Amino acid sequence: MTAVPAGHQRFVVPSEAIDAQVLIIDDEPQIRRALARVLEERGARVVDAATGTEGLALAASENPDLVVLDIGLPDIAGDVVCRELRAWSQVPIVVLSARHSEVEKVRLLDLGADDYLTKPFGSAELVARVRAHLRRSTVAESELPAVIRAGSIEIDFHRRGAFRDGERLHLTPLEWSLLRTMATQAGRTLTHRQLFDAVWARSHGNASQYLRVFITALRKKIEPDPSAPQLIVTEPGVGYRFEIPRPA
Amino acid sequence: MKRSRIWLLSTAVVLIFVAIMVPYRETVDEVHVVLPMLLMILLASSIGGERLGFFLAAVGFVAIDIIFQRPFGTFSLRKPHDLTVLVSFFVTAAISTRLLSRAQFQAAEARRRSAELQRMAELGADMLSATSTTAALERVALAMCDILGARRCRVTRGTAADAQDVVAEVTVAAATGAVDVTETTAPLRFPLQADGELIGEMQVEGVDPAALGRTRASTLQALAQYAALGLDRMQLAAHAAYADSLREADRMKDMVLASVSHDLRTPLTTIKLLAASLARGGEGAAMQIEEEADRLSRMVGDLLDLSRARAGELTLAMDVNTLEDLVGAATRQMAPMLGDRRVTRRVVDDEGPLVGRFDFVASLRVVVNLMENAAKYSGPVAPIDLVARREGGELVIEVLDRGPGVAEDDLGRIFIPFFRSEAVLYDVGGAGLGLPMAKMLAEAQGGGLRYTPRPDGGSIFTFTLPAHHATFEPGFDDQAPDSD
Repeated sequence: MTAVPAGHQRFVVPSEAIDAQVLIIDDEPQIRRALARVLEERGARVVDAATGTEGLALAASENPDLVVLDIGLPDIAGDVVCRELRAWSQVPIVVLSARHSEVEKVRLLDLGADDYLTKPFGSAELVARVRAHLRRSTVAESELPAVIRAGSIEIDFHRRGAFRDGERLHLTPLEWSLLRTMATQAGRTLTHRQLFDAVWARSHGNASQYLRVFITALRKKIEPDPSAPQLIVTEPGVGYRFEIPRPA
Repeated sequence: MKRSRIWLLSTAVVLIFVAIMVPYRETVDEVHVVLPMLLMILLASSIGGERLGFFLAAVGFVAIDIIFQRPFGTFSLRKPHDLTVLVSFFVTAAISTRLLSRAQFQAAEARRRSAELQRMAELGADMLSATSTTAALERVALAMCDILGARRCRVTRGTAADAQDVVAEVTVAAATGAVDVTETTAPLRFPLQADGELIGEMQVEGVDPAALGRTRASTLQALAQYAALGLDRMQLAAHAAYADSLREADRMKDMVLASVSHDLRTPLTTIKLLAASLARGGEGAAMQIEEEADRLSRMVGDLLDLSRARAGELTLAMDVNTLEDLVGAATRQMAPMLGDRRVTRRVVDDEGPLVGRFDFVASLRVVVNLMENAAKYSGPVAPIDLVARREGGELVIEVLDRGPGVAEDDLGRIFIPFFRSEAVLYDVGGAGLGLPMAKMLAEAQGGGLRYTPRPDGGSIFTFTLPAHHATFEPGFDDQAPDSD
């Protein structure tokens, strides 16, 4: 219902370059040019396509590091492109949508898109998302930082626990499972459904509808200020995203 | 048969009977004359009417007195022997004649009423089946002319004399009455009412006074009522057509709005991306371009949402959610707009999480709108307070500011779309949709939004949502789900 940029300035480092090849699939030439300009300014190599067919062909031949896909293409529905790409590639897909609905976003994420941006979005938002997904896709899970720090809180994956000022916090198994699922895919928005599936292992009992209540309880334990969460970010109507705080 | 002929004929019959009986007057008793004569009088009065009956009774009376009562040949009421017979004869004849003619009159009247009723029923059916409301009204007018033998009948709409317009008019070629009464009779006017309100008039010209005399007032009233119904139906049809066109226009507006706001997003994206590029190149105004593009996008989005909500196209996803999550999301979303402004957040969750069943996105919109409103109307560094708590069966979020509050005059209007207080002189941006939208979204979820003045200045907006009453224990289903 709303597309106000969600405090994105906070995790953007403007000087950081993008050293990757990005494929843009969008039928609007102005958008393609503007996107290319923003990304190229930061060092990215850009290829673009105006149709889904052309885009899929380019994805196969160029093997890009990331795909920016407009959902409203003239020839093939964007979600078909998304599904076909996913069939053979793990390339991060950032979807652009002019539609204003959370249901649409959830559908795209569940289809295998890694992220979405609702038009009109800003360049800072775009660059931050692109960078986060490039980083995530190039880092294997084993290479994740063993310890994530946010203020006085430490999340230690080796010791499998969260600590405040060195003291272990009492997380229930479910809370730890939620935290681990999100933190290992940091920067990526997980839909409610994806979280249910990961944590409840596809047994959607009565508890799954209390996901938001579990998140609230978890935040109360690990967030420095639970009323202004920095680690577990809510994507309204869509899901949750774990954000690794930048070292100050 | 003409009246005079009936009179002559029946008188002749009586006289012939008298003549036949004369030779037998010595032998025959009076009664044999009186009874046949009574029969004849009754027969005559049933054909020729009451007066003929009385006339023949008188003739018979005289004839009996002179011819059949002794002494024969004289008329005298002093024949004491037979006076009783005579008087009985006359009274019997008179009473029977009177009764007969009354019965005849009533039968005729009943026939007439039945015909009238039949006619009204047919008219009613006619009106219902009439292809247009004008045709229906014309049928009523025609019936009116017919019944009153009138020359012209017209139905007008409206009340003020100058605003009347003729909606149906019927002119009959030649009046059925024999006399030309056009000049002598003033037009009859019937006011037409619907729901106790005057909506028009029926005027009848050239009325035949005899026909008017015959027609009962209730018939005329019924006709006027028909005309009023027809006129009312005509106006309803006009209203319906108008409402249809309004609905269509409304639909078009929504479509245009949806398509414009959708199509605006692409150029707005380009503007924002290019503005950011310019900003990197050192262009100072570029940030402002981006901000204005955002503002434009928000305004269009607000309009679109409001028109969707009004069209009943608002779909809510009612899920178990917490106020804590809501406060956190609102804080994050508002961060860029609030800048250095101090926002205090107080979440009263000593008795467990603030759980409710509500639509997260819609509720977030409510809180964000309230915070934006608070930021807009209070000074650039004035603090905003946010309180989340439980109160009985309700979850409550309060947004408190130190702005000017709401003027007494504006209290009833702040939740009306596009209302902007005259008490606020500076332009605060926005289209005046934030609070109306918030109220609509709150109420759509079974909650509410109200304003109270804040002690020591400022506003308190209280957003309530129904609390969720499940017996929820954090961890009740919290076994190790998948160990690694």
